[in-house]
Amino acid sequence: MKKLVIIPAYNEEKSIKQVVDNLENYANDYDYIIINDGSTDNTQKVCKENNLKYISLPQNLGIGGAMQTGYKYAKENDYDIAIQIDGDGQHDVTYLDKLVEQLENGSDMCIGSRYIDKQGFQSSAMRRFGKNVLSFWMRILCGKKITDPTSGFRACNKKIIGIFAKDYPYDYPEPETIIKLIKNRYVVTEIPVIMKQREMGKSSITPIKSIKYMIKVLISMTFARLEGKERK
Amino acid sequence: MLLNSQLQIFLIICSAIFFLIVLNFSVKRKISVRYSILWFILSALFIAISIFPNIVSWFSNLIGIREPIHAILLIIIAFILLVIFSYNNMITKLTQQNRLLIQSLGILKKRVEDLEQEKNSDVR
Repeated sequence: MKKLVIIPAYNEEKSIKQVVDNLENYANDYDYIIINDGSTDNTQKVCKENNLKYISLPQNLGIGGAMQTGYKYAKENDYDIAIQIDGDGQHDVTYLDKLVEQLENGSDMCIGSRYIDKQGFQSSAMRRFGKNVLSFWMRILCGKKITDPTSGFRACNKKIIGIFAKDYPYDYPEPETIIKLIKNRYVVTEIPVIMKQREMGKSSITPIKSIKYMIKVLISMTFARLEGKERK
Repeated sequence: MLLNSQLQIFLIICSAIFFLIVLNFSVKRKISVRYSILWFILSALFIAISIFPNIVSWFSNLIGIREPIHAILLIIIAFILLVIFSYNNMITKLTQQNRLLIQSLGILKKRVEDLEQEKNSDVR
């Protein structure tokens, strides 16, 4: 079975090498590809000098466009499983096997959630509140409890790779993809994971932007629900 | 009488020039046929109104606007909104096409580099 780890990276020059080292040390049966999303720092240079496998996008597309590139690459190279992990090192690669195990047990997509066991880095009270709102709205929209709808630590199988390669939401892809899949009757599950605090760099969401962010995510989730079903 | 004849002649000339500009741009394909239709409709409307200004009074009576000038403003604003909306639509489409190109370029570049590496290692 061919397994690919997709690592979207925007200005992650300090952490990207460590992420790949972790993969090679703890999960060397996985291929990986870094999607350098038009970084303005030395991410590309670091990748090149260390001989890492990467795709460099000439312009910044945002997380959605970058991830879709990864899925397209996975599809072209005929991978059976694609796993997304962040380029900042907050996702622990020792969980990869557990995510894959869920796929083997019949899930189409499996999400690593930091809120099931409530262990490890839990982020601020404000963000947890925001997460609860999203989780609640997710439940209303598609009747399924997803504890960590914005988690970027997720694995999906070949069917889903094909879907994402063709059509991937680009505004707020994490919650939107969950809705899209559940709506089309794919099986989405979660497993508990422990996330580390971001080792380097700052989170891209500042407190001032967070309300604006919440509103936009809620709207895009609603649109994702209203959108017609996938044509097969 | 809505217009004095002097103003009317001026307006007819203006609308005719506008029509010719639209025609010229369309023929030279500086605007695509799809979008030129909207402008042809508008310029035809301008010509019609300047020749028969009573159209406006008839229209404002029809929808219950007291002053014909308000009817003209309404038509123009509605038209502008329509155009802006269609631009919004076009921009989104262009963004999508652009994204596809950027993604393909990235994947292609990777492919070329892989092939180059393969070739180099074959030579050695």
